[in-house]
Amino acid sequence: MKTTTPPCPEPVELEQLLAGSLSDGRQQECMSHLEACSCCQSKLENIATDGTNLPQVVQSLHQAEPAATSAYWPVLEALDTPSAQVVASTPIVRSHNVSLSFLQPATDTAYLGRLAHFDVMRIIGRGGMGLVLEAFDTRLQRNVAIKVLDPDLASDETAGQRFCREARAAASITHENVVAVHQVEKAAGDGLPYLVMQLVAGETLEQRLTSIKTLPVLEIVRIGMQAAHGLAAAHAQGLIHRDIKPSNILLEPPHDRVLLTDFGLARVSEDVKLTRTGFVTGTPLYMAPEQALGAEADPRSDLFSLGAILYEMCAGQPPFNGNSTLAIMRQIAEAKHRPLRELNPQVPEWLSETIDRLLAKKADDRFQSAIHLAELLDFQWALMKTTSDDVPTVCVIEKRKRTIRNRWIAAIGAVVFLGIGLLAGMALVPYGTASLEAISTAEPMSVLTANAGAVWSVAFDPSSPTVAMAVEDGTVRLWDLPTRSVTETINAHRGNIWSVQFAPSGDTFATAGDEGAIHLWRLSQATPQATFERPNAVRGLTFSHDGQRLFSGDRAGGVRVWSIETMKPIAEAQSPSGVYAVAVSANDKTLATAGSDKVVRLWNAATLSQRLLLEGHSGPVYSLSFHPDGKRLASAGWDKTVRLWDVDSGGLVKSWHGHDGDIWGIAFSPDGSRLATGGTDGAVKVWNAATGELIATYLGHKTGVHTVAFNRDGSLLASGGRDGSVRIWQQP
Amino acid sequence: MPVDDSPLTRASLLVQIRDGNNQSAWREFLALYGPVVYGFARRRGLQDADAADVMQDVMRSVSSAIGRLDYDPKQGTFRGWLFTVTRNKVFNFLSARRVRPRGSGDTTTNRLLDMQSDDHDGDAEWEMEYQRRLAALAMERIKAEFQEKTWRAFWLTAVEGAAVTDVVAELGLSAGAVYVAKSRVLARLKDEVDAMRRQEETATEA
Repeated sequence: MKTTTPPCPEPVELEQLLAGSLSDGRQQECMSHLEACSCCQSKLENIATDGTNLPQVVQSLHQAEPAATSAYWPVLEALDTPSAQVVASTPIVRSHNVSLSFLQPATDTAYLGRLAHFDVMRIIGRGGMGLVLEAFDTRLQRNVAIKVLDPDLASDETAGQRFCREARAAASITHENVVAVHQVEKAAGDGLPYLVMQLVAGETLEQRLTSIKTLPVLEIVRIGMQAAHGLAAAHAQGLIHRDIKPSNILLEPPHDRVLLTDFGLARVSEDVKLTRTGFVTGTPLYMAPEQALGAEADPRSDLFSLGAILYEMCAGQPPFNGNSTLAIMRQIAEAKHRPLRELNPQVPEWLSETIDRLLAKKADDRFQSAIHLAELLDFQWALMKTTSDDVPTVCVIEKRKRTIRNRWIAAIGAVVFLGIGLLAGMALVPYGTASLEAISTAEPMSVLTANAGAVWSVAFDPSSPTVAMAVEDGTVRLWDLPTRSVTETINAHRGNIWSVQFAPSGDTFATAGDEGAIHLWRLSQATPQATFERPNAVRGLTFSHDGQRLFSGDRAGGVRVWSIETMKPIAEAQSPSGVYAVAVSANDKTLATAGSDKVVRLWNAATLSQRLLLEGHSGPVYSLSFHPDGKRLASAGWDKTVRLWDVDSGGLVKSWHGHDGDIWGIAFSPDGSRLATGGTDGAVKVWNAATGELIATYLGHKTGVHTVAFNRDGSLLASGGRDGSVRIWQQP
Repeated sequence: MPVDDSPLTRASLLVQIRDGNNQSAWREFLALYGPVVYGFARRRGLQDADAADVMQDVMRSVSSAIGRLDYDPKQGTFRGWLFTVTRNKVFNFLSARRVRPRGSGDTTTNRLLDMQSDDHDGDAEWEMEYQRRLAALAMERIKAEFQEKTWRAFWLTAVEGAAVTDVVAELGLSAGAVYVAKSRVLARLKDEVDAMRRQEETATEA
């Protein structure tokens, strides 16, 4: 600061400075004066904005637009057409928050709830009409899928009628390429209609097409053939699907059998007149021209849609596209699709011609029935199969490898899910009352509900009041704590997310998924900044405290150190069995890993040479946390005990019974004075880290707690669990 | 979102929308008011998907009301009318949740509802969202008038809230030059916002 500041410029001079009308010399003098004189700085700004609040208005405007993943954009796109009636009939988005309030309380905490004699296990998905749940039929002792009409829509009479009509219609079809509908029921209490269906493992064609852009020709022909047979069966019953699209085509392992589902808009032909009100329903991408123009659909409309899907499987893109619903519909009605063989010369001529015929603008120019198409594809498929079996081409072998790998991944997922279910099921028989001492009556400060599935990991952003939760459905939700609202939902992984961790500087976070990917994200960006691949599920993940490295542990026991800068592994080691948790000491020198072999391992964090084995747990270890001073390590797991270890000697310092259930989460407070744990008994406990004395027990989670985490200053504790919620507990 | 180059100077946005299928007028309307409605709903505590739903609802009301001339211009500005519609939709959304709790913590909902019935009825928040939207659109328009460095200096300090010392280091300008750049852009921005507001108000009050 200069001690002798020249006198402040006159207001009129500041105005001239703004307008650029001062002499160069005087302008320089004024600018250097401004550097030191905060009074003139604000005077200048005041003159510029005429004393209005404009400076406040523009503050943080770069964050004003809804995030890229926001539901705002699809809605805007849907509205982006002046004829409001196009969208008026079908709400484009429904709330992300799925209410399960129609469920009765679960008989067993391993379940989400009960509906009549069905124990509901999880939410499989949600469509335009409602939720799809996986449930166990306790009478027939089998797993089923249950489709529940969205409670918001159930109050709408038309939607309710449409749903019941769908159910009745679909139940009349029995065919190996159509998902079987077992029964149609109404919930006892509020009369919510639901549909019990065959449970199909595997993925939808839509999911398949996002992982593999185009499919081998033989596979395309087979999928088309089976779909055509399914359609033929429906058409024989007088049913038109009206909404054939990749997400309504399921591929069932092991042979990817095609099953058509969601006759959501299908209805008995006679009914069409009744409900048709001139507006267009359905996904426009696969819609037939007559549907786009608001005319009645007939069986040949379904054939057009199937043709559009065959085209996409061959070309890697749908035949018609555009930026808005209206643009796509215009294309469908007017434009000629690009010749298929220009996009993929591998497609045989007969197939390209068949698809051209299916995509004819006039229904009369198409195949006249699904069975005609099915027969043609039957014949061609048999022909191709014989030749390809005689001379196995590279392409076929490649395809097999790929499907085998996919199946393998799907199978691992299924087994693990079952494993957890069983474990939880066994462990969650009634416990009696939890230890009554030190039970806090404290209400959580916030309850953040994901509801799309269990929460397996939760983390506080060190640099903003944001909480990230990793949800079983593969999404990460970012919550803004002050407003208690989801700021972003990121579709991060294809399966469960086991861990979400913020970099110490904040702003960047990493996720580890069941499919083996580790993604690095920046806040407010919808695509990952970097991806590290492992061949199997990554369970444990943590950042080094300097933010330069990531440590991962996977289900096959692989332990890795990754450089964030180069995105390459720096060191790797093999643990004899699956790793569930990793933690690194504050000085980044010692890495701890633990998992199914009951042993906690300490490694040199730079070289991954093994330093010490900490033995004592009588079952798998699920969670680890280093004391901030690096001298103590806490571990917990299946055997319900909390163990504190001396990091230098490897000796056990202290151990105590922690929960009346497995302990899935453990975390030291940032000052090291307290230790938080969460268990399958649904309790969250806070302990004196030195003495092991119980300080508080927080009850509120309806089922098991999977994860606990403190914020940076230790004033808040977050817990997340199977009930799909994260609870924030204020710390004294 | 990119905005049409066509200035807001036109007979009347509403008349254009009303006069049948004028897609660019409707698009412009959405670009201006969509984020305002969405932003207001978010400020009132609605979550992303719910706020988007409310935005959709409000815009549908607009498109149907314009045909019927549901609102009376004598009662106040169009923006005021839109505010009333939005506020009611938000309130209805929250009260529907109170009647049938959604498991997402009805205490929160009740708290949000109580907030709605407070004396302060959201006027200021609505106005702020509108001003922010106008400023955002105005910035898009005037950006090209400035040199890159001038614009960056303004953007970093006024919008992103960066410290002047950091900006000095990044851009290689003197601190005084950074202050001047910021204020020059602010002055131009103010003119543009004022002009847009005048046009918008005469247009929508027609």
